[in-house]
Amino acid sequence: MPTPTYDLIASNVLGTSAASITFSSISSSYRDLVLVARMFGSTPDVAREMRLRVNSDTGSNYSSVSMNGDGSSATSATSTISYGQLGTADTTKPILSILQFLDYSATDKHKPILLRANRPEVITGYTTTGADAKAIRWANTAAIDTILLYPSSGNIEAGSSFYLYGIVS
Amino acid sequence: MAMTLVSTVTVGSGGAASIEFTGIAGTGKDLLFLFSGRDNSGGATNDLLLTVNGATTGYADRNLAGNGSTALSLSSNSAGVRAWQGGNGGASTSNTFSNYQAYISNYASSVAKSISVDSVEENNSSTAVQQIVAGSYSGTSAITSIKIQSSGANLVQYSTASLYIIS
Repeated sequence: MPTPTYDLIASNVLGTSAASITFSSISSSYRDLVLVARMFGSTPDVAREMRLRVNSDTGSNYSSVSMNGDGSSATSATSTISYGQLGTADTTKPILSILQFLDYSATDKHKPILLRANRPEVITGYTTTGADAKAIRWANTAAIDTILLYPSSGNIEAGSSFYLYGIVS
Repeated sequence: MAMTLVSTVTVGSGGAASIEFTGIAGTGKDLLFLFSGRDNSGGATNDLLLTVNGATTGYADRNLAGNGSTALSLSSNSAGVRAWQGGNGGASTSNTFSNYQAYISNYASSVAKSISVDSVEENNSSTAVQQIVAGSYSGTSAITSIKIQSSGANLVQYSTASLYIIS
């Protein structure tokens, strides 16, 4: 019997809205983490950006390079800001974000975070949509033990789901 | 324990119009669908269509693709989540099959479903398509079946699909 390598650490399916979602006291015993988050925003037809922070770091320590296909154009962008950008959502058009935290518990390197984000439906008045792939670097050598997801405004709405998996080394 | 193989299907010598998994238990969190395929069309590529619960409406998708010389993005509202030119056709390099992965989060929920696809049409040529696809299905029932097919052609022998439940 092969050894299980993909462990569910924690999960949360929102029955009511929440200002944010936090995974804390994450064990350092895994090799990598995978977080699957499907998030609804709180206002119809208004795109709320879903954001990521780790270890409560609010500094401009999240550098990223991304590529996006919105259904008509292929684009690429870079940024260095105080959070990771996961994509936008409203009340009926969720963003599916699949995040891989590679070597998250290492203390000798900055942390790479790979994101696949998925929202094929257009939110009225907003052009940001489609298929995204992004590489984020968290510029800190500390082990990641806390992951925070939060919206640019409003709440993360009921029906949103979050599954955090540990990849056993 | 989190990733459980439900089943693997391999197309036999007679070929098949599609590969479908039915009777999917609602006990997990997410589904992971893996596919390696080739069809019997006369062209090098064909679109791949992924459908759930036998539905042929309610899908939307947008992709980001590269073909070796150009990056592009397309959208569709097809009769399934489409991987544009994602499948190897009969005119592609022999013995070469496409690679495809679909991830469906919260598949047993009572809300619409998000479907994330990564695929590559493998071809020893100046043109081969690699893409990521943001897909959705508007149906609110739990997903109990999932099917993949090539547009306008049959899958050939040794095309294979595996379904995993992540729980």
